[in-house]
Amino acid sequence: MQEAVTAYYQKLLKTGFEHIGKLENASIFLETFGEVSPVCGNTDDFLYLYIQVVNNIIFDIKYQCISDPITNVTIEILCTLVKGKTLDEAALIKEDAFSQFLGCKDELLREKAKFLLELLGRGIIRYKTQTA
Amino acid sequence: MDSRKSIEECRENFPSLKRQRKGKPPIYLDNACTTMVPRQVIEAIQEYYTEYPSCSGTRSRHWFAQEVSERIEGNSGKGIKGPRRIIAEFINAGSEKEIIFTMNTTHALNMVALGFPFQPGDVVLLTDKEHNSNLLPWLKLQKTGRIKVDFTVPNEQDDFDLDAFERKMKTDRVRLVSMAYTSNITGYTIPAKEITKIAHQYGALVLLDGAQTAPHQTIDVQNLDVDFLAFSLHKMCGPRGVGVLYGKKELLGQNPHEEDEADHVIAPVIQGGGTVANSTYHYYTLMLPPYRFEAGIQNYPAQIASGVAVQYLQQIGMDRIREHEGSLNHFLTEELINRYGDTGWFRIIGPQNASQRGGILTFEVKRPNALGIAAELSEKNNVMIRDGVFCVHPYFNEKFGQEWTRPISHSEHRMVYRVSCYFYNTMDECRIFLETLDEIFKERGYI
Repeated sequence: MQEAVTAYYQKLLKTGFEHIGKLENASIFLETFGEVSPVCGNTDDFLYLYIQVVNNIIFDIKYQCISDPITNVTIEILCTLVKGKTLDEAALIKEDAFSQFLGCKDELLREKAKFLLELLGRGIIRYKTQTA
Repeated sequence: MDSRKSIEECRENFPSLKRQRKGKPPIYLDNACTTMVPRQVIEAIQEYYTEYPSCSGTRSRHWFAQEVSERIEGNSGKGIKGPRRIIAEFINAGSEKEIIFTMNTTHALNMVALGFPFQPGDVVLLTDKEHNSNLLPWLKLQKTGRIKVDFTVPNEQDDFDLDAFERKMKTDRVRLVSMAYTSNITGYTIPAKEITKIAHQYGALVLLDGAQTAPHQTIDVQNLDVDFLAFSLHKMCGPRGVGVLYGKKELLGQNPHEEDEADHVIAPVIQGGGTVANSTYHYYTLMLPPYRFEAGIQNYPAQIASGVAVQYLQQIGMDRIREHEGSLNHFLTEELINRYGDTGWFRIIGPQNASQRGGILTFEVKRPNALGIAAELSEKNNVMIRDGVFCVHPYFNEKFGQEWTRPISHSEHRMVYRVSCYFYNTMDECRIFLETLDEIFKERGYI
């Protein structure tokens, strides 16, 4: 991990993970699991992402997860970046925004961000289809 | 130092330990899962495939088949001791006919579970830390209504509670006691001799899952008076895909017709080629043990190499292996406790005294995102340990709660890691593990 990522993670450990939690009746619920083999009980990482949409705006966003630190940092940044944005604005966010947020370029951060943005994108499309 | 091989000399025998990645050697501390393989064992396997890759002389009468048979059953005239005899001597069995080759420990345990003549209402008694291999076969039988499964509970120090065990024996209709001789979580070895004595007093038989014992300490089945013992060669420098079921001669049957056997004799579960003396369109007569339990073409190279692996361990000395592992575990335990014992989020699982844990050290990390440390150790310095629940799901589900892998709060995040040493590990390797773990904890902001 790059120093900036480590520093941000350590800050979260001290101040708390701002977006952790669960939203009842979330407009969009997304989940993803790790690819660790369950043979013999290697517990896998997971992410539950809850998004509350009001008037096409991401009014609130919460998550539950167990992951590696860099993934958790990426999830926190995603929450910060999309909260208060319209769904269309959120769908336009790119991986670079994560690097800019931390002020560093980290390839792993970029990979994780790409994965999460794709997940979010699928959730937004599904929500729009269901509410159209 | 005596004339036996030093640890450094032993390490020279392991090609996998000489590999490098990113300019660094492997630090293999996942031996409770599978051990590394010495050159001698690899050569024995290679020799089979190169020189006499045929079936054995129990099937064919030709030159190659005779060579296979000689290497499995031995030939005293030629000074060849077969693996069946080597293994029988290794555990001090009364006869090599009491040694049945299986695929692994799981296979061996299932052979007893499925072949034992249980009566409805019989109880099989387990500990609370059984590997799935010694749990699922019994739960499956319980589902069919043939048996009831019950568990003994350890005392507050997590040691085996002989009084609690005896109370179970008094009140339950226990027909079989089936227990992990050494826990793959804690490394704790149960008092098997006392357990067997009590079980026999109440008319029950005893099956020991010796997968984590046979590689690390001397086992004397006659002294223990245990009825069955299962173990795998892949955890003791041997080939993969071969295990052993030891059974007392009188429990393996002597009658060619299994239906005429006494009610304590296990029946062969898988039958076919190699297990029968004769068959008609209507009936068959069985071979004597151990052959009646070894159906189909056998894993001959692995069986031959298993003898080589056991001899390799004997050459080092089982007492010496145990002592070496113990000293590594003492060092690791002391260091980890000194460094993290007061944090509140680091805890060694099982007895805190390293001398009760053989070469196994399992610890819990209860910090946000405690996952992934094993992968990071490997990535940073080729340190290989294990994470997860080690095939003992019920123990952790009970201890941490069913939902422990999906916590809502980060304060409930936890993960369990197991370090397991063998005779070829060194203090330097342990130091690198400790330093790398420290680095990861620092990076993660845990310390």
